[in-house]
Amino acid sequence: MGAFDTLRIAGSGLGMHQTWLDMLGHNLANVNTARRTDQPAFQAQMLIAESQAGGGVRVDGVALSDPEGRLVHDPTHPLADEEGYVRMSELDLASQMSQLIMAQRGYQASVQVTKHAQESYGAALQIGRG
Amino acid sequence: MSVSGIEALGFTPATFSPTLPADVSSARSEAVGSSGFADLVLDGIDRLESVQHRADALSVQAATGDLGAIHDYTIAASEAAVTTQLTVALRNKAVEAFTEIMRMQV
Amino acid sequence: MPLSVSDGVSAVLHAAVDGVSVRQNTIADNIANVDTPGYRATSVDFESSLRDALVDGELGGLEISRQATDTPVGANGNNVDLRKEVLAAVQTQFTYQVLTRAITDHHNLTKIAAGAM
Repeated sequence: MGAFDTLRIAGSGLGMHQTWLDMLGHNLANVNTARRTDQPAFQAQMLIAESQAGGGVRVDGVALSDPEGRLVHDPTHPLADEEGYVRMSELDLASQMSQLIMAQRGYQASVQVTKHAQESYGAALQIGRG
Repeated sequence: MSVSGIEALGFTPATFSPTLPADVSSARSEAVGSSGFADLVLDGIDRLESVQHRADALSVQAATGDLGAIHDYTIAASEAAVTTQLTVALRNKAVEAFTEIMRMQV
Repeated sequence: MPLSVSDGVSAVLHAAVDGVSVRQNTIADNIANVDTPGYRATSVDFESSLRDALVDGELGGLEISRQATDTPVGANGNNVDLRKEVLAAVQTQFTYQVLTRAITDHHNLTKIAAGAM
């Protein structure tokens, strides 16, 4: 019901940021994942967010980073090819970390909105009482 | 008789003169002839019905999930409660005043 | 003679509470989209329409307008100023509480008068 739009909108913010946090966690866990050069590199997940008509945000899709990745010379690696290369993801650790901070900040802000919404509903219900 | 503060709400209270009328027949005509006040009370009862109906309609909307805002219902409910209180108080006062006048005839 | 409490003050308060509700939803929208590329923040103004109506002496239909803000746009096309929105959310929340309190107090005046008759 339209009465709970604020909650719905904030909820969408929580959902999107939670998904983003999950993706970042997944990426960070795989920042050092190496693959054989005849295979695609680990592909980091990148969230595509889109605002919703009627308010709120939604996850429109997931983009994947380049499967080319980058070749790193590490002959001692068990997956190294004849020339001693492995394929690493093109994941940028610094970027992922700063995104992590943004995702957490965005999530927290929507949490605050849900609290305000609850207080408003409570205030509305008190009209005429006392 | 005037209740202080009510004028501020745009509500003009009916005035009842507390003094005894010199002529008995004129007293009776004043009670019946003050159809202004009777109309006021009847009009108030109509208004009360519509205010109560509005609150009921909004509560049904809340039940079916069609309510646009919580405060729409709670404001209407509070208005209905106050209007009921006011209408009852006025009706009681009207009956009280009528009874007192009827007692005077004897 | 009105025997209900639907007078001018009630109409103004109800209109304001509607406006504040729209503002709360708008702020929630801005905050949910703080990281959405290309999203432009909006803000709500109903006070101007309300003030004009008070000057005119009649409250027909309140105009609750939602407009784009003028906050600077970042690299990804998003211009939500999170700090500003969060502060606005707090303020709006308390404004809502003041207004609902005012409505109750306004009704109580009539209740007290009815009880005193």
